[in-house]
Amino acid sequence: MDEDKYYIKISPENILGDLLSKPYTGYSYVITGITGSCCYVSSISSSTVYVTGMTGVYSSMTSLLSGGTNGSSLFTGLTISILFRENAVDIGYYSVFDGAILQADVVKNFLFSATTTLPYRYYFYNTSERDLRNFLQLSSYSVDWGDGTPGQNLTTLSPNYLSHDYVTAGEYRITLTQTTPWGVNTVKKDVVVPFTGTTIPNPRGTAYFTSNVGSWSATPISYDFIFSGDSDNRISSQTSNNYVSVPFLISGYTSSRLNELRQYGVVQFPLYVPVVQNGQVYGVITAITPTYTGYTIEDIQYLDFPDKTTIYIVGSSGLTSNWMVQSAMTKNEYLMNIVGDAEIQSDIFIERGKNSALERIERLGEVDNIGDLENYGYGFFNFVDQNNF
Amino acid sequence: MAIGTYGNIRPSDVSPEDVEIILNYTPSRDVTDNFTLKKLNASNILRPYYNNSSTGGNANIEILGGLYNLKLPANEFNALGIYTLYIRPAQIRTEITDCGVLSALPNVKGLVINLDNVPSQYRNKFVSQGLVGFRIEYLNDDGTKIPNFFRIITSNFFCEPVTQNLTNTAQKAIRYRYVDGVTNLMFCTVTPSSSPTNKPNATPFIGQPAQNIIITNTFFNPITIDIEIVDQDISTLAIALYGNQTKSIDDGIYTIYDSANNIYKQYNLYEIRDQFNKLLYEVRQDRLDNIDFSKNFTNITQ
Repeated sequence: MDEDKYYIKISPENILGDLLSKPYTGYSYVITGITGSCCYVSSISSSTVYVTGMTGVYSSMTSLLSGGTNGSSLFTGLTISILFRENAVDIGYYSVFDGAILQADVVKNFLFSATTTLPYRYYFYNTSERDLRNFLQLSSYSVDWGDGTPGQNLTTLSPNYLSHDYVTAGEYRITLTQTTPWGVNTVKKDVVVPFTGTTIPNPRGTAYFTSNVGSWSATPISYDFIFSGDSDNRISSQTSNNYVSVPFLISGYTSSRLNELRQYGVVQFPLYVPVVQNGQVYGVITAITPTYTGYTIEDIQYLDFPDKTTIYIVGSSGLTSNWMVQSAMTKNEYLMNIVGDAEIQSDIFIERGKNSALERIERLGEVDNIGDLENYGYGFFNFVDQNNF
Repeated sequence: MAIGTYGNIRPSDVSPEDVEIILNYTPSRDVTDNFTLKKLNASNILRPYYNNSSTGGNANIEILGGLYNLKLPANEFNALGIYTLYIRPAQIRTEITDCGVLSALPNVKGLVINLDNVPSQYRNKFVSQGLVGFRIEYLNDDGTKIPNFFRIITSNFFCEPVTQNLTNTAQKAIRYRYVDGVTNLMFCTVTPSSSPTNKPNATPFIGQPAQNIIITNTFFNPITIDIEIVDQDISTLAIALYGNQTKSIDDGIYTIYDSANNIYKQYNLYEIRDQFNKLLYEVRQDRLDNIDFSKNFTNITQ
């Protein structure tokens, strides 16, 4: 049904209740008999006997429709089935609104980073580069590195980061303070010196607010940055432990790659002679039989059959939980308007605030390979091969 | 992550509370311009189907989705004619308390709605992020609706006002700040709320204080159902054509039976003659509900 409209006709054939079973009194006949005892006649009597029974009879729809109490219908169980549906159009993930992210990340938040090469040096990135100019009119920012050194004021757009070299090892708390006419916001994050690359708990830090004006009775003075739209935003809750613990085979149909193993010489497809590319074994022909030709290219086994079909077989890498770690994305989601939030499912096109035709074209080119997908936050976390750290 | 637009048509998981049902009745097709609209209580007559062991899912608790059973109330569907049911997302009518900005983020505009102005049955929707995806339509001062104009709510959170001094003036501005607790004010951001790139000074209209608005969910597409209740159908006409029939010579009662020999219709057959005994008419008159049950087919033919 292309249109959301139903046509339903209710008629006697649809309604079993239209057929009523009624008692009836049919034709009559007279019987004559003698009453009395065995020895005398009391009287001669006759009586009329009526034939009765039950018969089905149709009433008119009109009388049935209005035959109930106060003229209501006798069809009290009349129901129809209908289908509700919606045109669910997914325009992609987007920020539920600019403000939520801005409130969390731009106004009063920061990112930090360090490397194992220079484990005592931490970098502070303000996340307010887009609108810092506006906020500086009302706010002032300062950074306390937590090691007793004087705080640094953040007053310019460039450079958009600060760096600090800690002298001694230990745990330090970096504090960003935003002073506004209506209160002081602080965001605090703990770092470990020297940097080892271990997972940082609560990477978004804890925010505090001390008000100058207004009634803030319902506002907590501190809270972790957790998006309130998520019921549980722990990374572990977004992943599955249903790993396959042993390598398994992956196979399917493909086109022949045998020609990639063609070699110079009289015998162009020699058995067991590996083809080497860039100093690595690229592939080798392993079997030539009347029923199939077997070869291996980059550890994937191929079987060519006379009917021109090719099957590939490859063993999985044995994806196990021990091999995988999950880490939170550290890229600013708001740059791509990506946020782990419910999508609006509607047939109404949702126009982003800043969405020109040029932007769309640019966006189309932004992601065209798996690497881009990871960089831009395909999901909520990265899968990283632990062995390749 | 989607780059581009993807979509399909999906069955809706809609609660009867989110549905409005409006009924229009007309006795025949040629009086369809007489609108007699009446609102029916969807909670009473609309029931979702639930999964069972055969359909999969959690039996009797997991909504099947899409398929609903609509009961036709006997006190409304009590006459022959055409009933048009218009089923649409429920409308929440309220007014804009203020069009404000966030105190910490003056470039984020939104609508502030006082929950005291929201009908009580819909206040459960007004929770943080509970209105995301809802559509806002705007009314003029005279109560008419601005046609073909709407905004979509992209977020809503509880908020409270903040008084802030404006730069260079003695005036104070009311701005808003989110609160995690429950207040009676809801800050709704809508889209689009910022200017297009190619015309930065063209601020989109999102409403004005004290303006009446209609908030509707977008959980399902509106549908209409045209229900026609008729007296005859093909099956009953077939009875008249092919069913058993009897004609009582004695009293002229002509009876038509269905395939199970139930009495379907009964008529009186008689003639009208003038004083010269000239036959003027042969009459077949419907006996309506005055059925002579002695004409039961079994009795006659036994």
